[in-house]
Amino acid sequence: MQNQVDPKADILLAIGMIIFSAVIYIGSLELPPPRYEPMGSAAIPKGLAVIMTFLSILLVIRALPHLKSYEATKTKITDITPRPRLAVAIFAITVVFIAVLDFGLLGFMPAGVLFMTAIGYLMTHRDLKRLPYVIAFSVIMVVGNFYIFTKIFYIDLP
Amino acid sequence: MEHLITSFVTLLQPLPLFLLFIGVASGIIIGSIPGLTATMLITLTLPLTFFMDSVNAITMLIGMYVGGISGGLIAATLLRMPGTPASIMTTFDGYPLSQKGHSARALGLGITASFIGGLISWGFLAVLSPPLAALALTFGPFEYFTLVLMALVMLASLSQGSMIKALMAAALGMMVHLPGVDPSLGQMRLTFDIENLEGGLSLLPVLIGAFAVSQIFKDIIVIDREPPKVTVTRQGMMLSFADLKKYAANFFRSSCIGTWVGLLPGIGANIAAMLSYTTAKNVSKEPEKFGTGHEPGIIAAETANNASVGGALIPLITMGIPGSVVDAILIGALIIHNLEPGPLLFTTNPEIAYGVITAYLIGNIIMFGIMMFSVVHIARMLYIPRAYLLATILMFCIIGVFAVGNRFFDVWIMLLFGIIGFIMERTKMPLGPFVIGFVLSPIAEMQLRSGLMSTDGSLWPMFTRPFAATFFVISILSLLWPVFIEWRNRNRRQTSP
Repeated sequence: MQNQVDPKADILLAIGMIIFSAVIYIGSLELPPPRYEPMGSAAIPKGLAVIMTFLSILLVIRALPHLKSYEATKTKITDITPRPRLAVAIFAITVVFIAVLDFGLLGFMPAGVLFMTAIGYLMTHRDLKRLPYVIAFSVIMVVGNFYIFTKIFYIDLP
Repeated sequence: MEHLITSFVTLLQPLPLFLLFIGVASGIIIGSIPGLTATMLITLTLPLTFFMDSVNAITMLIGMYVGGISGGLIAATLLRMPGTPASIMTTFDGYPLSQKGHSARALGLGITASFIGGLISWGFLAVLSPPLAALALTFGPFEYFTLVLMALVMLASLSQGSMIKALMAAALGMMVHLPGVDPSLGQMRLTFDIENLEGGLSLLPVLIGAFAVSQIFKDIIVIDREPPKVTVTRQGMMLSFADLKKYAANFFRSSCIGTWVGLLPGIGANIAAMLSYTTAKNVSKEPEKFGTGHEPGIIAAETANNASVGGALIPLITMGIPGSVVDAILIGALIIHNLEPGPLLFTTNPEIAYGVITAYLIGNIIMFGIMMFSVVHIARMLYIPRAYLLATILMFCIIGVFAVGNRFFDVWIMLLFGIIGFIMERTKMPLGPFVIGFVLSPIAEMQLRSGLMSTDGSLWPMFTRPFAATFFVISILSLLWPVFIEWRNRNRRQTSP
């Protein structure tokens, strides 16, 4: 029952869940009332939304007293430097890759090779010496996967 | 017995045996790499199993489950980095023993303990499953509803960390399953005029997003973390008969603990290992040696975590209730293959129910063989460059999810749940209750609604039917127990000087 998370994060999480519950609750208001059975379609969504809101409020109540005292204990020494910006960059490239395929701007093979090369290059610390290996690996992986999925599993990749 | 023998004959054919071997081997390799888990592997493999026969598909997934839990001990012993959460307790004694120059002995103890834990829990699985399934056939909607309720509440109350967050995660999983066709009336619900939501959110994009994609981005953040170089030899790995005799009581006790913990809904192998390790320490005449490279510590942890797999398979095949997160994914696999998880599986698809039991035993034997003879080579896999590994897994996630429904909507959903999974991990909101809530919510809703229809809206049978009442009381006690413990601890802190 220990809570070692930043209380601000807990409060934000609770707010997010309350908003989500509100969306579900409002959405279920449009559902027709029960006719053939006692509960109807709306009872479970409404019930879950109420439970989630109640739990979120409890989370906020528990987080509030720790808001001031958390600062003193949050420093954590690690042996490596975390790279959140790298994760964000790779996430952005992934979004672009999926969008390119979804909107049909490029086929799977060229888009896949570019995608794998880009994220491989970033994850190998943008080391140009390793780039040829990254490109070779990307081509083998993408072409190999393309043939396995289209010729063996009969899936139409874009 | 006849079904069991038929199942052995089926699974010992070349193709199922080969797939089981592939499953166990890939499970061991992925399980041995810190950050990659059996859950991730099984989730990623699910789309590929569409193209397989159901028995072969489930067999391969069971192999991955066994291999994944066992493989975690390699990094835990050699690097003090648990390959999977199930091997956290193995680091306490496995790593110190390895540091004393006995890495082969430490690995040998862990591998043998995993194998024996698997064998003993297989005994429980084979003996208990058919009668339990027969008993479960007598259950009505109220028994099933309260059983699901008990599974979710027990999972939340036994989750490590905040119980409120675990309950929130379970509720979120259930809410995420709401959009789409109402399971009782067949009318659209909460689709918000989005056409793609009319079929509801599919299991695979949600699972792959929450488990695999979120894990990839978590690993990318710490991509610079490199494991230290270690060398391993096979000399001294095989345990003698005297060793087996010496640790027989520990093997049996830890197997029973592991199987029992596995049986409880939603509790994973890590809790089994923790409980077994603590028990071994408490009954030991040399408790001070635990944590310093003490052999019984490795045995207790590794026997229990593998035994929990067999235990967790019991509620899965007899009642359709997941004993752990991996089991929830296996339920998803059964649903994907148009099979109904639960007691009817033994009568409608005995080849699957007994296939699970048989695959678990053969998988353990294969695991023992692979680990004993190839652990030196598997240990080298720990040093595969992360950049290539993570890029490949991310690509597989995208292709795998697209392959299921041939639509990009699922890929976007996967990415969305990748973000949600990542946020949940960061805020210590456990993913286990979320997935189990997602998988079990349609069952719970359908059973409750059909029960209420049969009683004209009365909930009374929930308290008058013996099994339903028992499950309901256990749910309430599970909910109140952590609150009582916290209240008691707070009182003790206040009264202590």
